[in-house]
Amino acid sequence: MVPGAGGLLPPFLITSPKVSGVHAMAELTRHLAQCGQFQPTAPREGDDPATYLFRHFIRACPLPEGTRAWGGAEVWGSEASLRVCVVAPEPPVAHDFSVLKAALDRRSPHLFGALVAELAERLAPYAPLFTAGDTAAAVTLVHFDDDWHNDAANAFMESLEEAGHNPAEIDYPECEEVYAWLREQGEPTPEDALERCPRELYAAPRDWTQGTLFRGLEGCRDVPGIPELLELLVRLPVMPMKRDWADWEGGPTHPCASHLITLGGADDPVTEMHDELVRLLGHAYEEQCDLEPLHVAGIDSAAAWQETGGYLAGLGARRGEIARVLAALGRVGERE
Amino acid sequence: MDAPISLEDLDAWLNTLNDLPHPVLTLRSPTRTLRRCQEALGHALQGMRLGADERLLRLLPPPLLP
Repeated sequence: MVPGAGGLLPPFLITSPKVSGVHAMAELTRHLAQCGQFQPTAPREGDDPATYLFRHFIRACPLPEGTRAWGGAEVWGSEASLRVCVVAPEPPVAHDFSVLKAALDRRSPHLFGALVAELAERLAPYAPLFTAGDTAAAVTLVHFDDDWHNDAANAFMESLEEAGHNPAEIDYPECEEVYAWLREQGEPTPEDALERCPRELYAAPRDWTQGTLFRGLEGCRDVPGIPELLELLVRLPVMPMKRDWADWEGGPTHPCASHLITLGGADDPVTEMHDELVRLLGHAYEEQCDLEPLHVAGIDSAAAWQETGGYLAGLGARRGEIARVLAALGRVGERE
Repeated sequence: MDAPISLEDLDAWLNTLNDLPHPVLTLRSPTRTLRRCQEALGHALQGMRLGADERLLRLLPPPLLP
């Protein structure tokens, strides 16, 4: 149906003009029903194969509490898949990890940042975190984007002109020059803003491996919550999807975090920035807005149907377990 | 609750659906220049669904992105 493109560049495919999206989705629906993935029911008025198939998928693989999903057709030539996006649009729970950080810092000054980085990646398909790393990305996106850099550079060049420099000899400035000038004016720079969220709070040193982190955590089993956390991380299936709310095509999308990892205090930057993002992007749990999904599945076979169903079947329990472990880690201070 | 139907009834319903056309990316001539391919892709992408766009963009080498 879709021959290779012969002498054309490898990515090009020649598709038959007779193939349509509806036809391809109908074929997929027929195939999945014949494989016994769902019991067909009478179609509703206005149904197309994608809405019909999505309804049957959700009926066969119920969503856990606190999550929602939407689906649609994804068609490429004669191939079709049901694209299922799963989101968890509930207000996040904040956890104060300041005492945990102090406990881990006594073992290694890098352990906390490495742990937060690992959690941010591993928990994302189940219960995404909003950490100091997300805060740093959000500060850059919201307050110091490309427009800001251009405006600041232009203002700097104008100031040179006003000071009597020949405009023809003024080159576009380096960042460092602009920042130094802004500091002289008493204006904030990205570096100043990011000082509140240093990398030690959300990243491991470059030479740290996952093994380094786990060995470090093994040495902290006396810290309440760490044994349960280690057990969780060992059992939690690794999902290939990376978080990219900040790099979403067309601008940032709602990070849709389930948990905020803070260090407490009245002017906690993580809570502040998350609140600001929510003001800008909308409340995920109140209205329809672009949300970062927990998982995006492409169901194009019985195996993909079962794989996605398996993910959903375990999602509720995993979200509950993650919430309990994070709550335990956040309560370290109360018990020490 | 929707009433269960047989596979045959499902097949019958699927066969009744309008076979709506969707934009098809067809590149016939291997002699087109890169620029003309780029223009053809740009037109094709404008009419395609978001999901297909994303998938197509993943497949395309960077120099051909419209």
